[in-house]
Amino acid sequence: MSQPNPVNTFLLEAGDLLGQIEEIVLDVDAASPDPEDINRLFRAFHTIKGSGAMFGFDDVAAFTHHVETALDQVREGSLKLSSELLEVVLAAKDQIKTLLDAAQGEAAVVPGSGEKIIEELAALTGHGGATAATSTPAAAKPAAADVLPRQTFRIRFRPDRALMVSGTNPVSLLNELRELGECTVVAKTDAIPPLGEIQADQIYFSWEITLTTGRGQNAIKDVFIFVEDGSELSIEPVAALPIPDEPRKTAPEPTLAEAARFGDLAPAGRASALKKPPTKDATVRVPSEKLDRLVNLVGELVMNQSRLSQVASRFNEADLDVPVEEIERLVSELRDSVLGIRMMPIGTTFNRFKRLVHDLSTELGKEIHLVTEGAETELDKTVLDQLGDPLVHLIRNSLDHGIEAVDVREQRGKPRQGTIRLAAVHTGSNVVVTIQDDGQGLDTAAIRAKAVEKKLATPDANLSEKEVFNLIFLPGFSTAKAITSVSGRGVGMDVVKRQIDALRGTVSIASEVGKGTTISLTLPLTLAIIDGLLVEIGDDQFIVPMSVVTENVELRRSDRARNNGRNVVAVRGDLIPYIHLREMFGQEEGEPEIEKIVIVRHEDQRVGLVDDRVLGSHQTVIQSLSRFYRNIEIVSGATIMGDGRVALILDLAGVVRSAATISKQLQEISV
Amino acid sequence: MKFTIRQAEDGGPLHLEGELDIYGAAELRAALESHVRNASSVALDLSDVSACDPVAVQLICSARRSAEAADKPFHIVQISAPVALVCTALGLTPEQLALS
Repeated sequence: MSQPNPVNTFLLEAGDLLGQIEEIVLDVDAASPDPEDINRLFRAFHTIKGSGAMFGFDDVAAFTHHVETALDQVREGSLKLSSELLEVVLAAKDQIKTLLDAAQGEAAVVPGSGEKIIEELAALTGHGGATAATSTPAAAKPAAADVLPRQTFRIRFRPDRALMVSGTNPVSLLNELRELGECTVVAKTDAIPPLGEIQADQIYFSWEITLTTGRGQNAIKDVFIFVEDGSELSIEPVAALPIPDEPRKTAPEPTLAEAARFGDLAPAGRASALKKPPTKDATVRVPSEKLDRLVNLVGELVMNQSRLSQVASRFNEADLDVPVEEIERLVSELRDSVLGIRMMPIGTTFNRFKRLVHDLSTELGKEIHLVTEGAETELDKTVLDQLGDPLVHLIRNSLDHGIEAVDVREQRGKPRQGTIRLAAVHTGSNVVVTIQDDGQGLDTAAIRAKAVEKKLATPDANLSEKEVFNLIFLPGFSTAKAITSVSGRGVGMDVVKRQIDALRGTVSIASEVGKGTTISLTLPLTLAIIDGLLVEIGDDQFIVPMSVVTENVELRRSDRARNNGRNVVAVRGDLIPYIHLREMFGQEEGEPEIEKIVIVRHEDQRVGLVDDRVLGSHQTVIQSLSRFYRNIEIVSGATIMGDGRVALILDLAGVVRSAATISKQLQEISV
Repeated sequence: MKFTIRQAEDGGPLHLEGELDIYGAAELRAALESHVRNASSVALDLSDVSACDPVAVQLICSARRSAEAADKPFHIVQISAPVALVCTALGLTPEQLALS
């Protein structure tokens, strides 16, 4: 029987819950918290405790119990939420993460770290401290005594059929209810089908439970938190029920007697009369390797489909046209759907930064507020995974170098609290991520002086503001006067630029002294398949990413002669520089009389790429080049064409950079 | 499979021994199904079951349903402490299990 490992399911769930905890703690207002936030926090810790104990993570359960108790007090109103308590809750969250990692052999627990947190909690809650650290949650339970008037509840619970498969044993749930007070549990077996129809690992039991407790309805709900999805659950206070039902709930025995007298194993027809549990939108967790494999397969399918189309067009057979076109449509839909599965909201990455900003601003003694926008914007998981590091670096820079110290901000008439705005937005086939701060802005004079000192620019260079900003992306550039633990660790902006380039993205900077800096990262939606424009030089084919193409024009040999060999072409009155791909790829011979210029947009400028022929659009499955070819900067990958030939995918930034270097070298030679 | 099945030659009870849980549920179902099909009277001996989970208890209830649908008598001869513990925790009565 193949089923997911319940422990792994727990670890994944716990990871999600810890993420939620961090998000809530960082968002919640300690002075006037939203009760629902406190409830969510409590429930998250409660679930980690309950399922942790269920899966043998007893240390996690024992530790979590203390935080849960403190939050329960906040929930009940007997303890006031404070920023100190939130800090301890955050530390507790980290401790749980370490405990879970340690259980998997991925981390080591610092001895005494848990006890320290428990002591801090005890100091804030006014309860006994570390002596309770090693007690089990069950043993510690009586401490959370009845706090409300005792009341009887009638609970009906029909679990999701997959309850056991997902790792929850109903016995633990029922025992947890028993801990709350006097409890009578009646199992209903009438939905259990005969052996021929039963799915052996599913749960067909349902329960009617009568519970008298002083812990309130919330405590009962909390028992079921982890299993609510797909289950039918009703919790009704007995007094609130209509009169005719009354005798049945106040005396659970008649129900029991009734069940015994009529026999629960009555004809199977009764089972069908029962209401089916409501179907719920389910989420399936799939390992990313499986998705990668699926994307690769779809990539190969796309390549073969284009091969099929080419072969079919050679046969010129009318009967083939319809099925080939239909396959083309289906493959295109399949491609979009499969790539869609890998799309993930950028919000998950953004949430990591809330903690980063929180911790670093405390460390630096600054007051900084992080605002995020467009968290729902989706990006391919591969892009998202590789975006984390550059973003961390940029945010660290904004925190450390951008936003001024509190006293400086006050002197400048700015609010004490600095703001970093992290936003993501879709534009065409790209996503633009911006990191904006309201700090001191970039000092062009300092950058220029530093560049001259580091021999990255000449003192007399006539540089625009934009060009000066771009100097900070050069290797070996750093203006930080003091090396702090936050930034200035020798990893420069050049690394960020390289990482974004590797993602086929671009970085741009806008800044105003005294007002702040905005860094924009433009990233492709996906790295797997792109729409490309297929061009030809001699017998070789190349792909230009369609997202940058603006138009195509012709270039006659006579036009080239007229411009005295300068590589510029006039398009509707504008002079556009062009790069001759034939020259770049060393194919000087066989130049046609009329060439084509594909005009592309690169860093707010238009640039022409001269080739022999434009063959049309092409769904390009990107294959990476082997490591021997990694250093070729003008090519970012390759694709296999329908006829089996390889077409190289041009890296626009690399092509422009390379052309600039060549022309600079030529100038130096001629000088 | 962490449990073993013994069937007395005289058509006596089906003796289950070991751990009855979700991991062996498919095997347990097959064993019960075959027993219900072949025996004229279905009897189970659970006295040597060392561990048991709700899925296994449910299969036993399901066997009872199958047997009664085929008009065959069904009863459980004896249960071990672990089985009794799980059944009590689940809120089942001896009658529901057809414990003789």
